[in-house]
Amino acid sequence: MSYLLFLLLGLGSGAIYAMLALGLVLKYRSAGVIDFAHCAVAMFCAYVYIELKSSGELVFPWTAIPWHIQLFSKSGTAAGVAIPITLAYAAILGLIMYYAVVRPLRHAPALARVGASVGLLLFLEGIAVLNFGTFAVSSPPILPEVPVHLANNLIVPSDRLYLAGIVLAIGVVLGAIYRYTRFGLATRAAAGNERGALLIGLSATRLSAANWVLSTVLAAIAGILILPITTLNPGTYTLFIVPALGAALLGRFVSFPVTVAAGLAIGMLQSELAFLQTKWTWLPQQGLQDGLPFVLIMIAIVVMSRRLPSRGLVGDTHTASIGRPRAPFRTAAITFVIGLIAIMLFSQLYKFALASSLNVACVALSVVVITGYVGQISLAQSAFAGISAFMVAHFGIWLGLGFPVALIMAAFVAVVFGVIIGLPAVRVRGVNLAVATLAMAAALDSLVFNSTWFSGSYNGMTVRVPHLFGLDLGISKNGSSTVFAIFSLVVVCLMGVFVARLRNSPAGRMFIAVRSNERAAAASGVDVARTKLFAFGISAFIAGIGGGLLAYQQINITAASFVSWTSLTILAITYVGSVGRIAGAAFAGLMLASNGVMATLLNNLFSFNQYQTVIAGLALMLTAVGNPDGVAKEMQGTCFKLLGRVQRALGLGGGALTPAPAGGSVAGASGSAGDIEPGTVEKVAS
Amino acid sequence: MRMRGPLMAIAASAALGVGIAEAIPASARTERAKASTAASVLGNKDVAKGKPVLFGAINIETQASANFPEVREAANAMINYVNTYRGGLNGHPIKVKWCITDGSPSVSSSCAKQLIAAHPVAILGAADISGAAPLSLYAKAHLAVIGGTNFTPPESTAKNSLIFTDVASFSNIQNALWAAHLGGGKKAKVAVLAEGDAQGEFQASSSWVPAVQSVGGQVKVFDMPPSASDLSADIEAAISWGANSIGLESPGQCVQLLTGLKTDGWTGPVTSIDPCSAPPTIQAANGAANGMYFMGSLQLLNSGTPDAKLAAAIIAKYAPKLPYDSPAAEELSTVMNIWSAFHATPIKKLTSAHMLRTLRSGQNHPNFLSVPYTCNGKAIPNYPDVCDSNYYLYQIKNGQSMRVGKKVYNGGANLIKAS
Repeated sequence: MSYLLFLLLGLGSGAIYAMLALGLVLKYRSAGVIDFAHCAVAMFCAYVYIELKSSGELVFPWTAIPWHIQLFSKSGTAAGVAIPITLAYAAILGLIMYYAVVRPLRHAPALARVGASVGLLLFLEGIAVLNFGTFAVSSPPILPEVPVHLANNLIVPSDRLYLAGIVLAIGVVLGAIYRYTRFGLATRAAAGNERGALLIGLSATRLSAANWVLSTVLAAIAGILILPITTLNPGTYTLFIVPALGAALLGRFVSFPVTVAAGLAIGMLQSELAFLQTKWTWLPQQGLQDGLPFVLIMIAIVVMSRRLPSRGLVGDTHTASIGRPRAPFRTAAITFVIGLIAIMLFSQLYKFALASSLNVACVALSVVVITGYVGQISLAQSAFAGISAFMVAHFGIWLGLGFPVALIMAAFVAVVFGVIIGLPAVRVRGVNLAVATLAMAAALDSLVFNSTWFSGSYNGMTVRVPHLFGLDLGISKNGSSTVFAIFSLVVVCLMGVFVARLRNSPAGRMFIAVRSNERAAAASGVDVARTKLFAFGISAFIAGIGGGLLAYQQINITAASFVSWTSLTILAITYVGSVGRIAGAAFAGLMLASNGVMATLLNNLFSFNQYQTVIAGLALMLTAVGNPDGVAKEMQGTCFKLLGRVQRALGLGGGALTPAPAGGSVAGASGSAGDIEPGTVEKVAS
Repeated sequence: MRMRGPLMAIAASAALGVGIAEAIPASARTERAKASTAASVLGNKDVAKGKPVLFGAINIETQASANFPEVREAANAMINYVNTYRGGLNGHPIKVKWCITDGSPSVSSSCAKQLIAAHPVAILGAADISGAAPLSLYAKAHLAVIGGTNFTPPESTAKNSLIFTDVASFSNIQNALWAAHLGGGKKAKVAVLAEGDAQGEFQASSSWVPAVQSVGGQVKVFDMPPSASDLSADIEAAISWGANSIGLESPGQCVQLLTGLKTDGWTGPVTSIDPCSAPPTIQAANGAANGMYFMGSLQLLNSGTPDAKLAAAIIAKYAPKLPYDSPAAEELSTVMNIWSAFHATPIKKLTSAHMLRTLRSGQNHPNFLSVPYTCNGKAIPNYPDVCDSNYYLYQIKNGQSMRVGKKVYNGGANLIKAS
């Protein structure tokens, strides 16, 4: 009987995941977007509801300027009034988000939309932290809350049953709408073939907007209904995205009833695990419930990979352009000299910030390889960096190893994890791979990074100060960062050269071939699976080097530096930088890293760090909308134009300084020299 | 100690014996009475002038789930008070350069570098969970971190750190011992509902488990994923295990746990870590926190002591909306203790080394809102930076924190293991 009781107790969690997953499926079906901000939208709508109900205030998604108006008396209003107002608010919010963020990116690469959704997530979270604080709030029951006696010793709170019933009903209704109504059929038609839909008089934009509004309202319903059984603060709802994405993936981002069933199943199984952990003490007592979505996702990938949405569907038809490095050694030498001059001129504060920027740039380089060159969206890069960082410490403790052996060996341990995490890529790609890698990174968080034996828990792990030929490369005893910044610069320049050489090597051309068209690549003799795993390994190695640098900089490292969400931010900032270019990684590190040179400069000048998350989120959204192909590409284009003008002014004629088109490439006609534009291919070397 | 702004002001007024004059309208009477009482408690003005004495401080305020802006608010309130009424430090106003962090080691390290670049005399301890990373940077810059909340072990063990009163680390031992006591000592079956992150894992395994086992009781940790949306299964698992006392070690899930325990019909004793007793949390729990015990190391504002009266007056004047929780109280105490120790010191002598040396010498220094401190490294043997390890037992009654008994608790110091 206890087994059944715990399954039923999981209905509450399951209903929450299912309801959020339904919104994710709606968005994906209509606009081809995996909206990582979906749960943040639910969170914000829940705040709108609770503020209306408790203080009668209507709150808005901005800060600093007045962000709330008194709509009712200060004692608040009834739930029956607050709920419809919140749902109407959500509809308007959804419409604004669609026209401001989603629609401009309709034909942009899928990653641009990921970047924008991460921006929206950070923005809403930041606004909520500033306006509402992080003390948890709760709501009195909305649904009837009485114990229901289903059998002897089988008592379940009625609100969980109601919640499950509501989500089942929504799933069935949505399924029916999209199967039988004109609106649903039109949405499916427009999502499948936008031009075809236009020819028969359907507006894909209007349909997509209507669906976006519907899904935002659904997020608001979820946010409100789950308030009484969960904790509302700016961070909690966001964490529900992993199981919700798992449920959506199990429903193939298509089927509403299957998504509901999957969400309920995840919640019920997590609940059952809580009971089994008390029965079977040999089970891991920590992280098991968080790891469950990952296990289910892996099973789904193995069993259902052929039926999972893949390349060719909405959202995956465009990829970001990639650069072709020219004269990598010369570029690295110039970069090194410029960096060295900067280090010599900078104060200690900015030297440290530059070192931080370089660490982030190194991890961003790993994103350039795996996502830019091979087109695989990995959300586990932070985990690779973390594995390596802790292994640097462990190698020092266990084997007495110091730099550089410990760093290189640690990076190779990250390679092992890279290949393992890359295994799903053999069967799935695109956003499905993103979900799988995020779930795996979340499982690593719970099972590995939070464990005392690996990460030292709250005490963290201390790494040995790096030495080379007797020279202390770490932060010096008097706190000077000069030597460490130079050390980081050398390592990152070497990594840059490595990535550039890789890009121009036969392996790099295989990467591009796989990215462009896997079937064509396979037909021309490329082993797609092996290429992907090789790329994951290389990417993990580079991320591992970045993690090692971070460890050397911080000396004492804790798991907090490597939480799975960091990967999402790193992917987003690298994308905004230009995910297909080494310059994009440098841009991400210098300009967008939360502890990098630009952030430090702004903080020091304007003390804006309280608003940093909000500004970063807004900047991410704006940059993704304004430069869907990344900032570095635009900057590169501007540089070449300036160079051309200089050449003309000097009477050198065109082409003396500007790079020549890349040999062996059919690309480059419309972009910067040597670029590969979306949809073009490059000759694969034998 | 744990009331929201308006309630706090009322309680402060009540504690101070505010009279009621019939002829004056009620609101005006209250305001005037509060003002005059506050003024009498605050004393005469002695405004600090001249070159400010600069401190640096990092505070966690931009994380998505656990921030402590009230710590900065409390520090600023107390600094305003000592600069206006106590002449600052030897006539010079105290100034703080704040850096706001999200608690990650990288951002806090960046903050530390920004503070070091400003050349403060020392770092004012505040609230940060980033651990050792910024501390080691301060050490290299020869800066001491004085006071604040010791959320992580390095703050209690670093050579350049000093904690006036333990607010976080040792409280788990006290809570666990009390939970075991409530469960019947050797007969106790204490279920610890702990958040499944690094903090929860660390506190459960290093504090709750050894403390309950030290008195011969049974203990089981129920790890709850931070992403868990409904904790009823975890609560039911704890109850069905046969627990006779429940401990809460989950700062981010207090409201959910308290309401869940009530819904699931748990009527046994609940002992919790301090964050679950913060005024907004008690309010959000809608009465479910009533009866809950917790150990606190600083006085409540309604305790009636001179320190509590002064703190209430300062809050009423400078930070009327301050949620008076432990980190905020610790910060008030920190600033006042620094003032007490150095208000007569020539500012040329005010260096980190001098401050650490002074604070660590002698014994029984005045400790605002707590008992006198002695920084000889012996209060908690393996946490040498902690100067005072005494705790009071509190219970929530009718939505208010109340002290239970007069006993001071500080047992189990030997259970803290060396880092």
